[in-house]
Amino acid sequence: MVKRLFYYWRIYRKLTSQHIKSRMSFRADFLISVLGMLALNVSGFLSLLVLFNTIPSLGGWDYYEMLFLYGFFGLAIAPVAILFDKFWSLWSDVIWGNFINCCFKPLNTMFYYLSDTVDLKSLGSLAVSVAVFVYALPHLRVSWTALKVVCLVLMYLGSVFSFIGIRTAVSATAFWMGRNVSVMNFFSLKVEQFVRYPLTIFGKPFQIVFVFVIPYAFVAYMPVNHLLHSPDVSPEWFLTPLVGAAVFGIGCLVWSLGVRRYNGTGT
Amino acid sequence: MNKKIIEATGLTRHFRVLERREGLSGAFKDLFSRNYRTVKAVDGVSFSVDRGEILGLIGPNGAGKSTTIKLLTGVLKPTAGGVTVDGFVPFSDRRRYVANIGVVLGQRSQLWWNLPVIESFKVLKEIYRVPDAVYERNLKLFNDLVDLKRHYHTPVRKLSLGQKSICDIAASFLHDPALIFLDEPTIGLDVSVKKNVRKIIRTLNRELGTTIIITTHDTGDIGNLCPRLILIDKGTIVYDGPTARFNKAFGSFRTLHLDMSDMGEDERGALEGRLAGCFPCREKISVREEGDGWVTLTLNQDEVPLLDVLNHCLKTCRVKDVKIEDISLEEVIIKSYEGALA
Amino acid sequence: MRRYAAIVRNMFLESLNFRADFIFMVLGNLVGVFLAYYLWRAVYAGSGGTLHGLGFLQAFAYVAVSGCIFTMIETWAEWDLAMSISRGDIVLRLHLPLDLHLTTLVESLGIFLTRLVFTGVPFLLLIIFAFGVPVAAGINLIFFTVSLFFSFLISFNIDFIVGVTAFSFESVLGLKLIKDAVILFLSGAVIPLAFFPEALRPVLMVLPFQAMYYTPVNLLLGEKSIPESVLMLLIQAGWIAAFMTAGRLFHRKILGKLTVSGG
Repeated sequence: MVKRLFYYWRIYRKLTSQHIKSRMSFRADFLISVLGMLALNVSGFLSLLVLFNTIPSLGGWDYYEMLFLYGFFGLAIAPVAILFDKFWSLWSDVIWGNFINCCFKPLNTMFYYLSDTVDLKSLGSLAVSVAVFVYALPHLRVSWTALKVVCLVLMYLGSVFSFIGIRTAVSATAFWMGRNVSVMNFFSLKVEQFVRYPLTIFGKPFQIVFVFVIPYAFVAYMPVNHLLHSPDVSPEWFLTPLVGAAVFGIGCLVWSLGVRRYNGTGT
Repeated sequence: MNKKIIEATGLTRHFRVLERREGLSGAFKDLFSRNYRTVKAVDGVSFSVDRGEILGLIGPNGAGKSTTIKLLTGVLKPTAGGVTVDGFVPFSDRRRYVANIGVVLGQRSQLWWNLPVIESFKVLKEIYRVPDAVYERNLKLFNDLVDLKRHYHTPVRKLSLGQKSICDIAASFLHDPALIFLDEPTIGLDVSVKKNVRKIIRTLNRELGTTIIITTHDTGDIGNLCPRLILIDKGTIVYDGPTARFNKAFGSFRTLHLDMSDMGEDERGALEGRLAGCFPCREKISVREEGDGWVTLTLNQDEVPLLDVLNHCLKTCRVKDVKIEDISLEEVIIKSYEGALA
Repeated sequence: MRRYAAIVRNMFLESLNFRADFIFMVLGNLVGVFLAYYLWRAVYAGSGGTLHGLGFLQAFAYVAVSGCIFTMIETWAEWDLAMSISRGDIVLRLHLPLDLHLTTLVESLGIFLTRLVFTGVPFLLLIIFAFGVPVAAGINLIFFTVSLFFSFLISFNIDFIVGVTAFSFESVLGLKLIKDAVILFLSGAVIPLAFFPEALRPVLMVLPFQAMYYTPVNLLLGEKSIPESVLMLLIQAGWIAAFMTAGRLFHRKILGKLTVSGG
């Protein structure tokens, strides 16, 4: 098992370092796209600033709590944005048939498909998220203990894996429908713009969907709410890591069903 | 070790295909309901391949070649029947099985677009866990053959089509696979590069003892590379045997295309009978209307001199244009059904 | 004109070809509208009914209609143009006896019109009737329609400039991200302009971005008198002219440079 991990790690390191090297040779491109992502995220932050200039709290969350939630969400989706970027071109590789090369390698198809691309521009989003997170941190009314810090890290990992699972399942729709840009956009441009707000402000139906159907609640709201609004570590804090593992598993399952379906279409 | 590397029995694969409607109103209808039909891409195919063999797999477009390859490479699950390759059941053991094979798909490179060639090779070395000694030996072999070193530091995207094909083929030999699938390895290449590619395939097969399966449209690939070939049509095997016998049966056939659009349909229709009268032979000259005024004659030069037939046609008919070609795969299939290879 | 019509028809067919894709676009807008509704309801929860002179429904209308306009005028023209430049098939287009600016415009227009028919109109109706946004049924609807089309033209001409940079610059995606972020934020599409600090508002009103979102929504809500409305349309037209001229000049200049350098 460990040996296998090392085997995958060696391949990944080799491919990504080569990829980064070749991207870095287009330095202007790199800088501009990082700036683009910075602009996108800074404007999101400024929107909150403008909004909280008028209102003292949103759904019971004050300015710094809201920023902390916003930053946590950004940190939780950063790994997917940076390392899983190739999901966006899956549909074209499915339509034009290039995906089939992934089936001829003695590796996990998802790993192999994603392994040659790193989205460096999303480092811009990561930077803004880190900044917002760190800016909000000292203003929170949380009495920190070592246990809480450990739990926060665990919950963060759960959030990351929840998001990986969701994004994997969403991307894998390309295997059934071909061009799935609108599905990707539906989640990344619409839904994910809202799930970084306190969940309780949305209507009951949406809350149920975001907890039980597409568990976006566990990408940021649940863990942050536990940290900020329940004074002690309780068993429910461990819900986020558990959900993360489950959602990640489901995502991988959807992917492998998709690959099977793709191979069966005779393209 | 088993002498046979591939054994396929009754291999079958069916597909459900969407039928799209035409035009603006069709697109609207497709929004709400869709029609499917079943296609028997591969239908009860049985054959075996020996170790170290180069086998040619030919057939017209949509004959089931690429589906067969997908079944053999473990990408597709057979609808019925089975196949074992080198002791593996391809679909069930996919990951372990593909470590042992190589696949090159004509236009779809397995190399990384932005990476220099040598870096691609290094990654493949990691993926297939190629021992240093084997890696060095194979690189040396490639270099002796085609001087690959020149391209080591060129990113793949900057290579010409021919160079890319050669690198792709070399890459598939890197891990000493037992079996390699080459799908249309010479498609789109010019004649001299084609020759080079064939030389590489032949040499690597000889040096490394790799079993190779080639699918192709190019009869040149078959004649120069494969001692044995399998001809597939509509998902079934039409011919499976030595290329020599195939060439003997069809090598002296020619197709003669004549533009007779100035003549009436009746006149053209009478041609077949007249030719049979003038040139009596065991296998009569086949005449086919192409529908646009062109007529296609297929004849066997061993029995009838081509020039005599052409002269006869030019004298007795109003012919506007002439083309002479080798026999087409489609004609071969028709003749095969008529028993030419029996 | 016929050949341009053929391009529009093709783009229309192509966008219909992907059924599920299309359904998800509609669904996305639907969910987007609902979530925006809840978000703004939460914003107004603690207020006495109005914030900066805007009632809840008005603020919601600004954001929801803006979102709707965005999905209509966001045709990825700059992206398609940049792709075709970097792939090199732009040469085929340059060799056609057609004007690049006009061809790109017409392609983009095909997408815009498809979106208008299949998502724009239904969603506007939804926003107005399901959520009870107060829209007067008068001449303001005509002003809005014209203004919407003008918004598309401003957006397209900005896109064209961004796309054409691909002739000499490889990071169009980066530029697009910056452009979209700046436009959406400064145009009042995300947060209504009324919420911005007093000192900033005059600046925002001089920038071209408010003409793309603030103007059409304002006209739809019919809060301005007829002369004021006409003036707003004229300002939009001015921005169209400015960006179009800039784009065409820029395009010509960059092409000229290319011919000189032999690229």
